[in-house]
Amino acid sequence: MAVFLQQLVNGISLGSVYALFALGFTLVFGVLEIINLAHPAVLAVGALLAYTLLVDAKVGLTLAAAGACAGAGLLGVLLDAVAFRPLRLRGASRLASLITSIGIALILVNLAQIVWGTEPLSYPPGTVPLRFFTAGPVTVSLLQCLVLATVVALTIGLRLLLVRTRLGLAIRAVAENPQTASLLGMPFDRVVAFTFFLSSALGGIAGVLVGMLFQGSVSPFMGNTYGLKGLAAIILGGMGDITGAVLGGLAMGIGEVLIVQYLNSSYRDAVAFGLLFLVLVLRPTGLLGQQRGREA
Amino acid sequence: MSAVADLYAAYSTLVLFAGVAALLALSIYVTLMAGQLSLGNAALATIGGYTAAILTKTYHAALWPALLAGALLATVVAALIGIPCLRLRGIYLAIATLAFGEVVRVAALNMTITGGALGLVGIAPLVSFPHVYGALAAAAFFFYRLERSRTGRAFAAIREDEAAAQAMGIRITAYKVLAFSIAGFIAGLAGGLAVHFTYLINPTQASFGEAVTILTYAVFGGTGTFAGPILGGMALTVLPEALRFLKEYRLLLDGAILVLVTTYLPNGVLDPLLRWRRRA
Amino acid sequence: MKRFWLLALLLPLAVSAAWAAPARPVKVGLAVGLTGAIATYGDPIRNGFQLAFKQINALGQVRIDPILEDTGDARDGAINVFQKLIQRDQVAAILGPVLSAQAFAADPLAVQAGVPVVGVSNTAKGIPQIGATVFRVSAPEAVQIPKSVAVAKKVLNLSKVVVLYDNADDFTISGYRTFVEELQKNGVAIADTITFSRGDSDFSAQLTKAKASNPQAIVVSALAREGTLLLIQARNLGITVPFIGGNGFNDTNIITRAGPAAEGLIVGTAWVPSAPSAVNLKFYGAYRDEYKREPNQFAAQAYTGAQVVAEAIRRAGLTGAEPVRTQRSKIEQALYTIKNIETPLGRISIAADRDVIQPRTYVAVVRGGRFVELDVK
Repeated sequence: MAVFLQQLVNGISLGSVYALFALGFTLVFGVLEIINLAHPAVLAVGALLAYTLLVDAKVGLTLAAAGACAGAGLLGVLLDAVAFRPLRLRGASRLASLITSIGIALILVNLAQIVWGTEPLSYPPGTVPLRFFTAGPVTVSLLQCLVLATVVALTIGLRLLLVRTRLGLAIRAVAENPQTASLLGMPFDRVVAFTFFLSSALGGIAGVLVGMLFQGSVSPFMGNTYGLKGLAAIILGGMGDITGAVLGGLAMGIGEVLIVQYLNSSYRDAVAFGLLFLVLVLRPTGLLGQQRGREA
Repeated sequence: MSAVADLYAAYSTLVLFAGVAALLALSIYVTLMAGQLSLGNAALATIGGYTAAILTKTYHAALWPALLAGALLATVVAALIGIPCLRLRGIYLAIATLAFGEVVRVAALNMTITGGALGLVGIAPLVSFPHVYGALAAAAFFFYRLERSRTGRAFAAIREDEAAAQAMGIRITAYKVLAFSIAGFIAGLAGGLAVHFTYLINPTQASFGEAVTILTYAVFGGTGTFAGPILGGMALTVLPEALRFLKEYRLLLDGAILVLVTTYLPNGVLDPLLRWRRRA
Repeated sequence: MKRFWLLALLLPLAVSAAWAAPARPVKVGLAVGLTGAIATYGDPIRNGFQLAFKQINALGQVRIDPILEDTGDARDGAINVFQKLIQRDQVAAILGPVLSAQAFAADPLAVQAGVPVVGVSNTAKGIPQIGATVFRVSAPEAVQIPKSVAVAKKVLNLSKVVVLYDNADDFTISGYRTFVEELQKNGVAIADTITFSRGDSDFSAQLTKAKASNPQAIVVSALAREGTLLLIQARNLGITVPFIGGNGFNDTNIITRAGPAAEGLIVGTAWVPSAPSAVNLKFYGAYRDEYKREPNQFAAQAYTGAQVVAEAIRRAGLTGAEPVRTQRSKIEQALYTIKNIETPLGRISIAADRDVIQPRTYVAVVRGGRFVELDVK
C-alpha cells in the first residue's frame, strides 16, 4: 500500500509534467488545428533561457522564470510569423504547417546547440527550492506540489481567459470559424499571434519547471520525449480541449508509473501506447472529446 | 565510363538511400490518396526489414523471397491495423498509427529474435542499384496505372468527401483497407531492401522521428501525383549530405530550406510544374 | 617588392617544415555524432580527437589532417559519412563512429575499401570481428565490471542488490549483462531488475520500486545523463544505499551536477581523472585549458584513439606522398604493432584480434566530491 501511494504520487508528478507540455500544445491545435511539432523545442529554449538568466544575469528564480516565459512567448509570435502565417495567407493544407513546424524545430534545436552546447545543465544549486514533505511512507517534494499547483492554476486561468474575456471570445470565435470571425471584424492575425504567444509562453514555463524538477536535464534535446507523449495526452483527453489535455497527461503519467511497478518496465511504452490505441479504437475522439469530425 | 563508375562509387549508398526514401514516400502517398493520414509506415518498414533480415541471415533464404516475405507480413499487419482504425479520422488516425509504431519499436527492443537494442547486425549486403531502382520503377509504374484506374478514382472520391463517396456506392471499407495494404507492402519492401545494404537494423527505425520524416518526404514533394513523393524523398535525403560544407550550420540551413520551400510551395516542389502542364 | 619580402620570410619556414615533417599531411577521418541527442557524447569525443591531433601536429613527427564529419545519431548518417570519407576525401584511416550500432552499419564499408577504423566508444561484442581493418581502444564493459563487483562486495559486504538498466542502449545493456553474470558469480542475490529508456527524465517510478525490495546497494548500467538524474532523484526519495555504476557513470560532470547525491557512488572504470601518468596529466590539463570543462571517459578514449592512429602513422613511416591505398595498408599493419603505449587510459596494447588490451582498470568511489581509487588489498 505504501508503495502504491508513493507510485501514485510519482504518477501524478510525471503526469503533471505531461499536462504542462500538453496545455500549450493543445491551445494551438484547438484554435488552428495545427500540430506544432516545434513545441518541444520551445520548451527547451524556455528552460535554457532561464538557465542563462540564473547563471549569467544572476537574477532570482521568479524573474528568470518570467523572462523565460516572455522569451518563449515572443519566440512563439515569431514562429507564427515565419512558419504558419504565410501558409494561412496561401490557404495551404494543415499538413504543410506540420512540415514547417518540423523545419522550425530543426532550426531551434540546432541554434540552441550552438548557443548552449550539448551537455545537460542544472540550475545553480540554491536557486531551486529543495524541500520534502513526508507523510508516513510517502515523500512529496515542494517542487512536485509546485508543478501540480501550476498546472491547476494555468488550467483554471486559461479556461477563465477563454470564457470570460473579450480576447478569449475572439480566440474561440477564430477557433470556431475563421472566416466568420474575420467578417465580424475580429483581428484574425493578432488573435492567432496572441494564441501562439500564450502557447509558447506555456511551453517556456513547462521548460523551466521540468528543468527544476529534473536537475541535470536542461539541454536542447530535453523536449524530445514530450513530443509524442504530449500528442498522446491531448488525443487521449480529446483534441483541443484544455481540461481534457490535462486529464490526458495525468492519465498517461499515472499509467506509465503503474506499468513500471506492477507489470513490466521494459514494455512500459508499448503497454501505454497499446492502451492508447485501444482507447482510440473504442472511442475515436478521445476520452472526453465530442464528435466534431475534425481532420488534420 | 570510368568517371561515371567513380562518381557512383563515391555516392552509391546515398543513391540507394534516396531510392528507399522514395519508396517510403510512395507508401505514405497511397494512404494520403485515399485521404487517410497514417503514420505507421516506419513501423511497417521495420517489420519488413526484420523479417527479410532474419530470413536471409538465419535461414539463408535468397534475397527476393525474403523481401517478398517481409513485404507480405507488413501487408498483413497493415491490413490488421487498418481494420480497427477504419472509424478513426484525421489526427486520431495519425495518433493511433503512431501508437502502433511505438508498440512495434518497444517489441523489437525487447525480443530476442530481433536482437534487442543493438538490433540485427552483419546482414549480408545483397542489395544494390538494380534492386532498389527496379523496385522503385515498378512502384512508379504501379502508381501511374493506379491514379488512372477505377481504384484511383475511388480513392480520390473518398479523400474529397467520404459521405458522398459512400452515397455513390463506393465500398469505403474495402478501399481503405486496400490502401493500407498497399502501403504495408511498399513500406515492407523498402524496409527489406534497406537492411540489405546497411548491414544492420535496429528498433530506432520504427521511431516517431522516422515516421514523421516519411510524411515530410511526401508533403515536401507534393501529394498531387506519385512523382511528388518520389522527388520529395530523394531531395530530402540528398539535401543534408549536399549541405555538409556548412559544417555545424548544416542542419540549420536544412531546416530553413524545409520551411522556405514549404511556405512558397505548400503543395510540394512539383506543384508549379503540374500547374504549368495543366495550363499548357 | 612586397611579395618578394613575404616570400623571403616564408621560404625558410616552409623549408624547415618540409624538413621536420612529411611533405603532405596524412588524412584521417573523424566520424562523430554532433547533432541530435548523441551530441552529448559526440562533443567530448570530438574534443578528445582534436586536442590530440593539435598536440601531435605541434610535435612535428607526423603531420595529420583530421577531417571531421557529423554522423548524427542514426545508422544512415554513419554510412553516408563513411562513404564520403573513404571515397571522396580518400582518408587513410577513420576514427569513430560513436555508437556500436553505427559501427556495425558503417565499418563494413571501410573493411571493403581496406581502410583501417579505430573505434573509441564502441563497446558491443563483436566490433573487431566486423572485419580485418576494424580495431578499437574502448574496452568492453566486461573488462571493468568484474573487478568493481568483487571490490564492492568486499567493501559493502553485499548479499542483496537491485539492478536498474537502460534497455534502449546497447552499451548499457552489455554492461547490465556483465553485472548480472558477476553478481551471480559472487553470490549476490538480485532482488529485482528494472529498466528505463535513454532520454527519460523521471525515474521515481523505477526508484520507488527498487526501494521496496530493501537492497543493500543499487547496481546501475546507465549513460551519464540518466545516471546523474537517477542519483539525484534517489536521494530525493530517501534512498540512502550506495550506487554501483558502469562506465557511463565515469564522468566528473556527474559529481558536479549531482553534488552530494553522488557521494559513495562506486564505478569500475577504464580511466580516472586523477591517474598520475605524465600522458594523462598532459591530456587532462590541456583539455581543461582548451575547452574550459572537465574531460570525461569518452574524451580520454578519443584522445587515446587519436594517439594510437598517429603512432601507427609514425611507425608506418608515411611521408604523405604515397598512394592512399599504400597508406591504408601500412597503417593497418602498424596498428598491430601497438604494444604498451602510454595513454591517458594507462599502458595499452592492440591484440592480434584487433581488440584493446588494457591491463590497468580502476575501481573508484566518490568521496568529498572527487573520484578516488577504491582499493582493497
